[in-house]
Amino acid sequence: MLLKAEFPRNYEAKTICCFVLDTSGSMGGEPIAELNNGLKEFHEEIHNDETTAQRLEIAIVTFDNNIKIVQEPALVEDFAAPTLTVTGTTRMVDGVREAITLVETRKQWYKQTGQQYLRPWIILITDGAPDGGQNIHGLAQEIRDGMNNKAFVFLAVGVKGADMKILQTISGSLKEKSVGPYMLQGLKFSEFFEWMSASMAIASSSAEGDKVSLPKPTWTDGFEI
Amino acid sequence: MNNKTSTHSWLIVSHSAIGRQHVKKNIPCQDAHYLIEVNAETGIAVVCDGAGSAIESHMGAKIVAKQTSVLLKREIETVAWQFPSNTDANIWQNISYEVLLKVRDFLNRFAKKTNRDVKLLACTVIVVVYSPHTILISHIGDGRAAYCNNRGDWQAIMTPFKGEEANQTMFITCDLWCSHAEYLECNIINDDIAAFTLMSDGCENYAFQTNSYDEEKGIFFSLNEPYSKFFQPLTGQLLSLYKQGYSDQELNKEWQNFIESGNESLAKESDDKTLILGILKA
Repeated sequence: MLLKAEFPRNYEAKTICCFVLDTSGSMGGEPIAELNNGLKEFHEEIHNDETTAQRLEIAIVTFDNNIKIVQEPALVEDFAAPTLTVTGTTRMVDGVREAITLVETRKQWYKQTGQQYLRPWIILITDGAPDGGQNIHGLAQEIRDGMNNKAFVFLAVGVKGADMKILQTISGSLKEKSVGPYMLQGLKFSEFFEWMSASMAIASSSAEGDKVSLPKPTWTDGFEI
Repeated sequence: MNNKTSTHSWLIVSHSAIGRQHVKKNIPCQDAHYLIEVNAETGIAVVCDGAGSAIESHMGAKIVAKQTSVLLKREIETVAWQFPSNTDANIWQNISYEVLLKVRDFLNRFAKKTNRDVKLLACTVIVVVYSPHTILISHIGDGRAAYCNNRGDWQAIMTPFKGEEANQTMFITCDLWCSHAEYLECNIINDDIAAFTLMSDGCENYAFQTNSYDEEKGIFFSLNEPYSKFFQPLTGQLLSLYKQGYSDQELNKEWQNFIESGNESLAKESDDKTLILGILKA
């Protein structure tokens, strides 16, 4: 190379990915063990991808009978993958709402601190149906509005036993194309998180306006986004 | 793509390189550029960046780059407008507006004739008219441009339009700029010009200081400063190669190598990269 130059140091635009994870009793045993493994692998994959590691902030909200922010938004270098445990029931709607608030707060913080950002992602993983008395339709409207107003992308993933009809109800669309829900085949968490890390590498480096085309997943049947 | 490297007075290198994500996803390079000479001292350089969300924007970018150059050249050659002696901000603003409207009409007609949605051809456009003592620039959308005077100072000559999210901007196919003058930014620089540059946003973080961090206040802030440690060595090296007898083609080949893999990050850049650098021969 004959031509040489010095390059400036600029900070990367951030993308936040917030996982909303079901830690209710029914996830006990193999499912939660696989989910924990998947999270660790995801953390490692992102960590090994220098560029994405500087762009992608990860947050984790869990829901059972309580809603917990297990991980506030952070780059992978600033936290270790958690080991989740299970208990109680499924306050899914409250969990997803917490995530929506969390990404909105983070966006405000990006704005206040002058940081560039890309559209946030909210990923729900559940194996059941939400507790009775929760406002599914209210949440569905909130998600539809959020997707239409380009506030975030919401992706629902069902593990065996999940009520896919409810996940369908709360799934929104991008450019009139519905996004999910997707059924995880067996307990292919490992494949799912591998796909997530590849997708997040794409989403966090996207210069693509609205549309991000993600790699073809191996953890579900039929996928279009 | 028109890659003519030197006019009588200028040494100009240009390249549009496909970004890594576009290679992975098997979509073409959506950037395009065009260079056209008006006379020995004056020329036009255009950079267009097709919208990632519009599947045929590579085509739109090519059309807009060429049409803008050709129509503007015609405009400059009309008797009514004696460039560069008779340029004021209003004239340039009006000419930019009219030329880009014509280009937009051309795109609309092309889309209609070929049964396409014109939005699928969406792209940004930066147009520069360069001459030794005057630069005219107008643009819709993002990207960057700058010039260097004969004292060696590099300065930005446009402000990119950025939406709320980091990857959103305005395109020539949008309606907004037709009715709101602020979305079509036009500037005139009268100075002794030593060099100029224009680029798509895929190159901006390598050639510009685009942001910085204030540790005391804990905030990031935007900057629009051409990085002279980037441009200074490149202009020097290119002039030196030119003086050693490198042909236009050889110089552009070196430039192509540099844009494609000048450092590890440039090589890994996910977005398409276009960078034009014009240097006034001594």
